[in-house]
Amino acid sequence: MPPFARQVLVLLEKDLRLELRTKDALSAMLVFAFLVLVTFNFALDLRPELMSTVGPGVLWIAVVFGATLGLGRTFASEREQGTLEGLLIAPVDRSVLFIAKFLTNLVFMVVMELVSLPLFVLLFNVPVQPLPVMGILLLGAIGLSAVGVLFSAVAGNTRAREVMLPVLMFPVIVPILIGVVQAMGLAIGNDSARDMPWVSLLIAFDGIYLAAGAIVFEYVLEE
Amino acid sequence: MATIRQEMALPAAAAGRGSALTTILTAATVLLTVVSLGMIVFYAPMERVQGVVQRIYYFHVPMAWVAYLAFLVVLVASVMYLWKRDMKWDRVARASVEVGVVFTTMVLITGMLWGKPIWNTYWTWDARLTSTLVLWFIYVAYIMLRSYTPDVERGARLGAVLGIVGFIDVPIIHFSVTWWRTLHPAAVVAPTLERTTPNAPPQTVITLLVCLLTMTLVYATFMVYRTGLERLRDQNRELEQLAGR
Amino acid sequence: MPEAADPFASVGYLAGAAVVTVVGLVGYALALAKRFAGARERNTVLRAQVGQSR
Repeated sequence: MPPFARQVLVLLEKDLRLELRTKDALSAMLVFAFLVLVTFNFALDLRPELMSTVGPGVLWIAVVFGATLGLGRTFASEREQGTLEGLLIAPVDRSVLFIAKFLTNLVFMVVMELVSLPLFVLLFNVPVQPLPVMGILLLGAIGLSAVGVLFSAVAGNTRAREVMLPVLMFPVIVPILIGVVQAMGLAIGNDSARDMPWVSLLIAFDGIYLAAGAIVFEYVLEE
Repeated sequence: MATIRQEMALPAAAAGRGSALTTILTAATVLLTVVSLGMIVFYAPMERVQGVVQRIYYFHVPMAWVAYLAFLVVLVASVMYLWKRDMKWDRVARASVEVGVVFTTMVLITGMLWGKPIWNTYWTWDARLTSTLVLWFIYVAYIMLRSYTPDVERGARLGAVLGIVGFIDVPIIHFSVTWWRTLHPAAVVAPTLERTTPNAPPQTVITLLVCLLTMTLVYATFMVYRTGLERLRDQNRELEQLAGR
Repeated sequence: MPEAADPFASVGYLAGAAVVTVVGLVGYALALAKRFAGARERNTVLRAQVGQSR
């Protein structure tokens, strides 16, 4: 196994094992996503006939908010315990750290999505084709995680971390927002989105931001 | 000591000597602004469908062009800063972000004032306005980020990253929003020239080009003084540290 | 939508946009000039301070 992959796996395993012990990030994300779904029920008049058009957005917003919660914390534990310096002194490429954190957050997000989708179907009675929808949610999560990890590191350096992460992230992820909701609309049976290559857009976005993130990450963590 | 002395050299504009080039630039800008205003009022032809209000186009479009130019400059300055680590590039980035946000705000406002008489609504989530709004948010976030980062070197680095990553998104946002709007057309679409007139008469094109040039010069003039301001501020910060000892 | 009948019906909005543009740009320029002067003043003061303490 090439050293890059090995280093990534070491870091990934460390983060996942830590999370398995405490489960605090994941549980917070799950509860919050569930809560957002329920809140939408009060905020909007979600009649069944509307759900095929509005549904994807409701689900995706819940996922995004849950994801943001997890992303905000992704460097927090390292900073608090001072282990970040140790990671930076070690002779690893910064992009290793980026990919490792990206994968960690991706795993959390996918778990959150795997729970949120059935909840969504249950709460709102929306018939979905689970495999295509999960595929779209996965593509969305990849983009979210790439952008989120990058901006979490950027925002994490500032005094107002909690404010800056969403403010930085949300405009940049507009294409994922649009792409996921449109593509999901298709999978839910709403045909109007068919003409545009939404999945290609998501794949392109994911690829671009994974690459960009890996390249610029060394500049973010220079201290 | 040697580095401090070098940095202490006042930029010509600040020292009050006023570099000749800056004066010429400012004068040219003012002159061209007067010419443009005259052309907008007297020379540009009356548009059949929209009437007199169509002339907002001659403000709106050039400012949009300048906004994108400003953010492109931010991209270039960001890359150059990360490569050369020379603070002057960061100053250019800081200045261009602020000027860019000013122009973007004006694009949005003039867009709204154009839409209201034509379509009886101030805001419409059509592709161009929506993309411009998202752009606005990205660079406002840049300004916020810098204000939250007191350490200048760190701020410069993070700003540069954002300047690059943010601009990469501009075409992606443009496409995704346009596709979205193609499928779900806005109830109302912001007015443009092309939509209402298939062939624009030459006077329109000429007026537009003159206004484009003017606005670009306005941008350049702002940039000269704005980067000069950043240079003064950086110097003041260093001087304060020296004086504090 | 203002019909072709009166092309000047919406002159108010044009004037509004022109005013906003001019006020915006000129206002920014003036604010910039003020900030610049302020920074230059501070610069002079600081230089004097540093010059004395050396």
